[in-house]
Amino acid sequence: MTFREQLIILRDKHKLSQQELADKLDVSRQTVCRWEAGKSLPSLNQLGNICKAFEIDPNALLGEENRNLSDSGEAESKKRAAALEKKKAIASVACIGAAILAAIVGLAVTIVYAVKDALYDTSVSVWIIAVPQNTPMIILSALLAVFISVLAIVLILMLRKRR
Amino acid sequence: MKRARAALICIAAVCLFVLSSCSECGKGESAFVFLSVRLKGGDGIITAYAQNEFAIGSNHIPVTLELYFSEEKKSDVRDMEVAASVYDDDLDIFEKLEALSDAGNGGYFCAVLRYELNGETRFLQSESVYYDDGGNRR
Repeated sequence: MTFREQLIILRDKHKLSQQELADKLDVSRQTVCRWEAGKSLPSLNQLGNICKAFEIDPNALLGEENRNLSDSGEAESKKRAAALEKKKAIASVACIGAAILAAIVGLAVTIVYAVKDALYDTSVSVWIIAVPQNTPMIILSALLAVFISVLAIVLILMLRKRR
Repeated sequence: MKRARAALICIAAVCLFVLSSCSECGKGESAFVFLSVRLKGGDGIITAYAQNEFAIGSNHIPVTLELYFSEEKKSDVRDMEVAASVYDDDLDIFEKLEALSDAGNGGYFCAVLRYELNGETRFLQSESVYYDDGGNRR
């Protein structure tokens, strides 16, 4: 039984009009009317006054509502957990996909070079990776790049949280 | 998802900027280049190829491609004769350089790519391959 149904029954049982109950609880008749219509719920203080007026336990009065609230809370948390799981699954699939893609691209490049080399009698290659003499400036640039990247990631995370 | 993509683009742009700035401030001293040297014979001609396969940034690498010949197998190119030589003051990305020589009566051929980096001359040497007078590998 919902709170509004119990309130109507209790008021009838105590032979009270909406105005009389409102006066007892020190609220307006419209407030009682809204409770009985199920449009709003009393505050904790008002709930205490209702229980005092009818000499009943608050849990008995709000039993159904509590259950409904906890049910909806559970449903909400389940929904959130499911969404999180989905995100995790997407991230995992994206990581695995990226790794597979990198492997495929690497393999394709290797095959292309192997085929190209096979067209010649002999072949040799070298990777030239050199840094300039003013390396500290480069390190500074790299640090700045990392800093900007981190800032960008943090900003994006904050925006996502806010959303 | 869109934001993650945007973040990745930002990071990539920053990396690209850093890489390009590396090349700029180095003034030719920094490099990230993949070079190859190949040798091929046929129709009485031996050809040495040098190619800039891949590069990041505006690297300036002067190169010299040399084709060496010797009737007998030599372990050191200094003991071989220079059959052909080609110079390029900047081997751009994907650019190919060729040095050709007649196979003559046949012999051992070897290609050497000399390149300058940070004022230092380095080289990349292919193995010595024996070709007959028709330019066929034996």
